[in-house]
Amino acid sequence: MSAPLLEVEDLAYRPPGLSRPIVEGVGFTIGAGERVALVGASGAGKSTLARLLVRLLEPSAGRILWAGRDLSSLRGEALRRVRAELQLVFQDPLAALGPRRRVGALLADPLRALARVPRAERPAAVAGLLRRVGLDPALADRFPHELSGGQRQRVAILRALASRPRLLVLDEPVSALDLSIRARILNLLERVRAEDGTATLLITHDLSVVRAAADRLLVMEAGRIVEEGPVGAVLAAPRAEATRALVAAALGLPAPTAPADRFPTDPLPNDR
Amino acid sequence: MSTALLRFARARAALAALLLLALFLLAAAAAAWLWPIDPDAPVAAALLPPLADPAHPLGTDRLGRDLLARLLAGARTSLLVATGATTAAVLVGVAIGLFAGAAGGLVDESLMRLVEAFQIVPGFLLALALVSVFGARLETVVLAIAAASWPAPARLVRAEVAKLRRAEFVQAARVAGLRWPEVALREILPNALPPVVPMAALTVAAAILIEGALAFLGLSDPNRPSWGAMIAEGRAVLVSAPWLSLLPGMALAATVLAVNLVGEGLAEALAPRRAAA
Repeated sequence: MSAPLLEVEDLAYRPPGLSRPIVEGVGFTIGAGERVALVGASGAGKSTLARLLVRLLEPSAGRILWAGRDLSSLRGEALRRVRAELQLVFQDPLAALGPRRRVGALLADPLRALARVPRAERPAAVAGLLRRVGLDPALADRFPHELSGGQRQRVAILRALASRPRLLVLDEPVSALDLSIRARILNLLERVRAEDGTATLLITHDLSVVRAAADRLLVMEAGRIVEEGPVGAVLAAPRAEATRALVAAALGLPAPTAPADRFPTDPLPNDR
Repeated sequence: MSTALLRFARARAALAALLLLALFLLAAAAAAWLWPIDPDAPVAAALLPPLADPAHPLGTDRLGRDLLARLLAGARTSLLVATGATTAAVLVGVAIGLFAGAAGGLVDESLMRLVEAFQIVPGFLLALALVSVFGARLETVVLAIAAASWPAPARLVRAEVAKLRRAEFVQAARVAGLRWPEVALREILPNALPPVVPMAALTVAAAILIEGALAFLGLSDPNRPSWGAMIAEGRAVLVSAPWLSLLPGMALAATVLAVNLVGEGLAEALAPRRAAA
C-alpha cells in the first residue's frame, strides 16, 4: 500500500442531546489512488462518517489526519486548501445542488474558491468540465431541476472534481439513479480515477457496486467498523454478522439466523 | 373542480386589484397632467357637492379647494409613504433575519430578542410615539412606519434561513469552498425570499392604514394632503357634507383591499413553485 492520504484514528461522533454515539471508535487509512468501499445497513453511520471526514461535522473524539496533518485544527483558508484535495459527493444531487442557481454558477464555485481559476477562464473551465463527462456545455445555463437524474449526478460529481481532489468520498452516488444510468456513472468514476489517480471512498449498501468499484472493503454497523479487508476475500468469507446479512441480502436470501440445532453465539439482540 | 374554480376566481380578483392599483399609482404619479388644479389653493365656492359643477366633479372642501385634486395628491402621499416604509422595513428585516439565521447562536438569540422588543409594542403606537418625538415630517413618518414594520419580515426570513442552513445544498456549498457570507447570499437568501414577497404587499397595506391614522390624528406632514388628514378635516361637516370624509375613506379602503388581494395572489402564485423546487 502507498503512503496514507487519510488516517482516521478512534473517531467518534455523538450529536448534542443524544445518549448513544452515531460513530464510535472508527479507525482506518486510505492510501493514494486506493479504491475503498464502505458498506453497512441504513443507520449504520456511513453518511455521518462521510460528513466527519470533510469536516461538515465536528468529531467528539479521535483524529482525522490528512497527509499527516490533523484536520480538526484547521480553519478558514487552511481548511479550504484541504477541501480542494478531499471532496464529498452527496447522495441526492437534487438536494445537494442549490435549487435557484444555474449549473454554470454551481460548477464555478469550486473553480473559484478551491482551484483558484481566474474569473476570465472560469466559463471555459466550466464548459471543459461538462464536456469531460459527456454533457453539453449549454447545460451551464440550466437549473438543476431542469436536468435528468443522471445529468444531475454528473454535475454533482463534477462539482467535487473541479478542484482535482486526491480523495473523493462518494455517499451513495448511484442509489438514487436508474440501473442503466448507474453503470454509466460508475464507468465515469473509473475513468476519472484512471485519468487523475484519484482515490475513492465509495459509500454504498449495494454489493454489486462494491465488486465493480472497490478493492478494499470496510463494513460498518452501529457506528463501528466491524470488518475490513480485500473485497473478494471479505465477500467470499464474511465474518461479521453485518457483512453476512449484506451478502445474504444481495443474494436475495433472508438474513442468516442461527440454525435451530446450534446455540446462538451472539449474546447481543439481533436487530436485523 | 371547486378548488380550481376558487383559484381562478382568486386570480381574477388579484388581477383586478393589480389593475386598480396600477390605475391609482398612475393617477397619483401623473396628477399634475391629468388634473392640473392646485390641491392647496381655493378655486371655487366652499362645500360644493360632487357632480354639481363640471369643473370640480367631486366638489370642494370647506376652504373651496378642489376635492379631486386633493384626492390625487393624497394618493401620492399615501402610496409614497407606504412604499417607502415597506422598502425600508423589508430591507432591514431581510438583512437582520438573514444575519441572525445564518449566524445562529448568541447573535441569533440577541437579535431575535430585539425583534420581540419591537413586536411587543403595537405598530401603530410605536409609529405614533416616534412621530410625536421626532416631528411630523414626511421622512419621519416613513421611518416611524418602517420601524414598526421590520420585525415581521425579519422573523419570517430568520425562520426560513434557520431551516435552510441545514439543507444539503448549503453543506455542499461549504464543501465546494464557499465562505459563510457567500453561502448566505448566494445559496440561502434566494431561497428564503419568496415568502417575503406577499408579506411585503401586506406591509404596504398596513403602512397605508398607519399613515392614514397618523394623518387623521394630525401627526402626518401638515404640508401634504393625505387621505387620513382629509377624513379628519371632513369630520367637522360630516352631516352637511359627508362626501368630504367618505371619498378619501373609500379611496383608502379600496387601496388597502387591492394591495391585500395582490398580496394574496402573489402568495398563491409563489406557493406551488416553492413546493416544486
